[in-house]
Amino acid sequence: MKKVGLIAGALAMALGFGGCRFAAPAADFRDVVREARAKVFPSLVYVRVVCKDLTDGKNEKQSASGSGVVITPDGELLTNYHVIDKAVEIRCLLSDGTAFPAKVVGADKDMDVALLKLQRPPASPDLPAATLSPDAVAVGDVVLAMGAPWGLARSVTMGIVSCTDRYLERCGQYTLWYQTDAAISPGNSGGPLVDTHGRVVGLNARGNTAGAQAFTIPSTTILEILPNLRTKGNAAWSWFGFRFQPLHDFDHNMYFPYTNGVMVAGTDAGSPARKAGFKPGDRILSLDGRNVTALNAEDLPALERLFGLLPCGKGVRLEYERAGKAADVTVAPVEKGKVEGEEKLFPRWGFTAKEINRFNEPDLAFFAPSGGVYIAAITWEGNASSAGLRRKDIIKKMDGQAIGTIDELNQLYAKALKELPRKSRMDVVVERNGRPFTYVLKYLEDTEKDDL
Amino acid sequence: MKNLFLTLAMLAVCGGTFAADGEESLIARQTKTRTLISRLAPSAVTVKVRFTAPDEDSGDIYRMPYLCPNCNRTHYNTVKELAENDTPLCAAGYVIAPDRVLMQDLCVRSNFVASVTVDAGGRSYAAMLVKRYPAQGAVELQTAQPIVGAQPLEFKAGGQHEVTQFFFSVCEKGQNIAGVTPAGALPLRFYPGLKQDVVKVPGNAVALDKAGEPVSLSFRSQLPLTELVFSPPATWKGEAPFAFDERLAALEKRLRESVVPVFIHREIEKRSAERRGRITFRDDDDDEAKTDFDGIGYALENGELLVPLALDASKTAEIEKMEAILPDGSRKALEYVGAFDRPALAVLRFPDGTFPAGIRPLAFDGRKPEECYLSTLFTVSARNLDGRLSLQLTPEKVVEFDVLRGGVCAPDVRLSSSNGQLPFAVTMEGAFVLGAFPLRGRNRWSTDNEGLVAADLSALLKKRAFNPEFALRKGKDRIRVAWIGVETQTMTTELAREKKVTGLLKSFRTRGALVGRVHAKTPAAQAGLREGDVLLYVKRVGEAKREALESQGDHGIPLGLEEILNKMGAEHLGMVDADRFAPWPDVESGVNEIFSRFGIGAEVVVAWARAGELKEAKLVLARAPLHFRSAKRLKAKEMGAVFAELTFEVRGYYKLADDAPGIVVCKVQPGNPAAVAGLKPLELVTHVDNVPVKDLKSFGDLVRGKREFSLSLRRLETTRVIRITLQGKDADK
Repeated sequence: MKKVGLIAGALAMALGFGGCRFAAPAADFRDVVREARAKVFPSLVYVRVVCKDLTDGKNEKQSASGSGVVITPDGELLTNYHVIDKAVEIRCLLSDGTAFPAKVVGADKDMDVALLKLQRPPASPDLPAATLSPDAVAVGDVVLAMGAPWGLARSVTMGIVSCTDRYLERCGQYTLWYQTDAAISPGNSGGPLVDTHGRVVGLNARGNTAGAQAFTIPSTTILEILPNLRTKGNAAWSWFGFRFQPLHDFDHNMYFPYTNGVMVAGTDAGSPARKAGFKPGDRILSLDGRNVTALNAEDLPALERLFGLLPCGKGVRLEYERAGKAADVTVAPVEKGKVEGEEKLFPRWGFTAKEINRFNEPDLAFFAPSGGVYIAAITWEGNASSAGLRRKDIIKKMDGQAIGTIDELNQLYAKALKELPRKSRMDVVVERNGRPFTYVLKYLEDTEKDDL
Repeated sequence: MKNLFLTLAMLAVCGGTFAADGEESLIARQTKTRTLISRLAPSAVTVKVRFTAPDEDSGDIYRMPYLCPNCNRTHYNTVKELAENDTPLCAAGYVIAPDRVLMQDLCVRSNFVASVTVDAGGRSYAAMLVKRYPAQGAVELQTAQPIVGAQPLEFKAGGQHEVTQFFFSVCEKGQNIAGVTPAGALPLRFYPGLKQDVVKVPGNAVALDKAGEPVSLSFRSQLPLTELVFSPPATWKGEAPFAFDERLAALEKRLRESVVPVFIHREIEKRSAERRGRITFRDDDDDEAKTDFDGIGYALENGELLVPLALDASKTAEIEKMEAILPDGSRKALEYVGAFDRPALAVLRFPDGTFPAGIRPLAFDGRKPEECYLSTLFTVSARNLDGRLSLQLTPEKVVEFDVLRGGVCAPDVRLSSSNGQLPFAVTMEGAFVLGAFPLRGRNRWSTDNEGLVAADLSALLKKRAFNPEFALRKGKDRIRVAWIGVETQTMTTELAREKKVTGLLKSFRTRGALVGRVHAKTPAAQAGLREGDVLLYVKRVGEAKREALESQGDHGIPLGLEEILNKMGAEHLGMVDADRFAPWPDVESGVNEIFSRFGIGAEVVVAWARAGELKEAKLVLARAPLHFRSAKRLKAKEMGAVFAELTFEVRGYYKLADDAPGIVVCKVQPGNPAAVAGLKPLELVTHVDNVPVKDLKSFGDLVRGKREFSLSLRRLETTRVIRITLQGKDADK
């Protein structure tokens, strides 16, 4: 099986490049590809996870699959955060056919990177490990994508790097993306993108089922946060609370008449930046004397990383310009902390509640600045939806009791279940768009039961 | 009663005359009549008048009344109809000299007449108007050649002779029919209130004496009894042929000094669409969104203009701009004085109480309506065509009377026209006799109007009993919404159970409204209403009739608003209608609509339920504060966006202090600089080029004249700065 796949792949490459004027002689190139493949292929991991899925307001176990690549001989492997997100069980199939469970060492949602460790018996032999390339690729470089598209393990596809600095709005605050036309499908996630030297240049994260373009997290970026993932369990981003805006924006026909610096679009409430007095429209010129410039949106992720990887609590001097006057201020970032709140399903009530996190739900955080719990998902035709509750309702009170955390809701839920069927209704006060609304939640009927 | 006696007396006289003739045998009489007809017939000719529409727009709207010589009734046709059908108007004419013909004056403006021909003996002669006899209602035509075979009438010389019969010739379907009618059979008429008694005489006929000799010509169809005397045409007082047109021109000139085009602009509350209203000043239901009105003002004394204006009170309140367009095309601002309830008339005033040069007050006709009998009035249809005054004058002879509201007798002239304008009637000297004025609350197709004669209109103006409801209002005063200061939520049966109000709701036959929030320092707060109470009903103090308080469909969130705002590209931004999608509570809610029916300041009893108990409180309905829908807006055309002043509920939504600066984006037009730069509806604009935006006015001042500027925006927690670049100056022209 493995051999058939290989031969077919080589044939396809030979055919594809046979007609190309500038291609190296077909035989030589085949060797190049074969060598490159051989360096990473043994490190390729097929990841299968069982995860809980509360998005429909139901507790459903889903199985999902992804890819990964072993980067240390002792069994550390990299995959995407979204592959192992909410996983309750992770199983890995190595290229030699052995399978091990794995546990999460460190994960970062913002970068969509997770570091896993294979749970192998003690004194297991070293694994073949791939090397993360410290060098950036260039547009036009031939790359191989390896992984398990649609769960088809041990697949290799090939393409070129279409763009090395793709900026995707609202998708990756800290990273630019490599864009490639190598076929990447669901299941490729977390698999390596490999250059012709056999080095891992990125982690395939986003495919596009409709088109031929896919997006890969560059290895250079991953290397920047890898130490933190390994030692702190997360990327440990530092948080200033700046919202940056580039000087030039072609799409919005917006050009600030400067050649250096970065615009401050705004600051987050309660953030060090806000406390330091930064205002929308300020232009930051330098950080500890180092020039910071974001001419275009593509320059933003590097800037975010620069700020985000500064040590927490240590002041930095920021030089900025406001209304034509330059000034400077020393600001110490704080730990960014959790970027997503805890969530919990309340099946009898028919909704999933989630803690409001300022990074994940900025709009809700505006209405509940000191935190709270909101309805993240609602069961279709469940008790909550029948009562008139909606997604994104902030739960203020239930049964006359103020609700601020998942725990409080949990306790109330346990009590409610205990009191069934004697008491099977309670009023819920929610805040919707800043306005209070009251509903009566009836939960005598177990709407989920019929489904089972 | 006196009139009745007179009638009887007259009839008796006629009967007497007949009795004398009656002695002759019928055959003898018929032979005599036939001889008479054949003797006079060669003197009658057919006059054909053809019409033309002098210009494109007047032909259509100018309904020309003409006294039909054949049936003696007034017909109305548009000039265009007559001109297009090419149907000549045929009338009998009487030859008084070989090349002279007398006929009835059709009272048609000479510029509507294309040609006049005289047909006689199978030949046609071109003719022209040479003289008019206004007292007799006749015109004299001269043919290009002498009419062959025509027998000029020879009138008995000397003073007045008794007229016993009339010879007439009518033109029916191209054929001349001649006949004789005895004067004794003339019916006598009298009108209520009219002092004179009237005899109907054959118009367009030859008056004959007992011997059948022509005495005179009769062209008027009705004559006062006192004027039933005939003298030969040679003694008539004639005037130049175009004197009528000259007088008409003079009248028009006079009217142009007193009829002034006015322009009225209102700032509308609901801005889903903005359209320009034209001409009709009627308060059309489907024209909620009309903002600009072209109208007509009649100059009164002291620099005041009387303007038919049928806007309701809330729309009147929104009037921002009133201008008079002077004859030289310049515009002068007007002040608002007041408006009458019925008819819908507003009085506007030139600022210093004096008319600009070239404008003088409209004169009022001092006569009693009945005194207008048989006089010629001109109905005036005045239109404001984008600042240009168009006047259509139609002469009409008063032959009938109409009874107006209040039993007022008024000349029955045609005061409605096809274009929806309400005309008025003036004398030849330009004095106002009567007019039709609009009524409020009627739609465009309604023909209802209020007729007022000069005396009544002067009395109305003298009283100056303006309705205080119709006043211009600025800012907060403009709000017509009454409230008690609560936000409500739709009740459900489950909620009713939970709040223990099911029984109460049933007994008061209401669905109720759950109070979600009580605003501080409002009647509701003072009355002790609290969050969680259920409103039941409202009634006037001392009255038993209760009005159910219900809140319908108030769920507090426009579906998918955030998704729309976050995901929609600039090309779709125009789809977001801030009025419909606003996330903040709407002050113009169902409950407040119920309160508004009672009116601001009304003393009411409001009932609510708390913990199953009925509570009542007496309170005074307050004026709702300025809110998003009623706030002042600014349409930045070049930018392609509409902005509104921050109001209390928008501030509440954004958690802004009462004095925090900023304005809110209502609408972003796709494809314009604002949309391209990424401005989105419902965002706040806080700064322009880093200068805080205090309000709409300061925003206007900050961006005025700038081709490029930055806007600091905020939506909830998210802020950003955008830079707007307006296209080149040439491009936006």
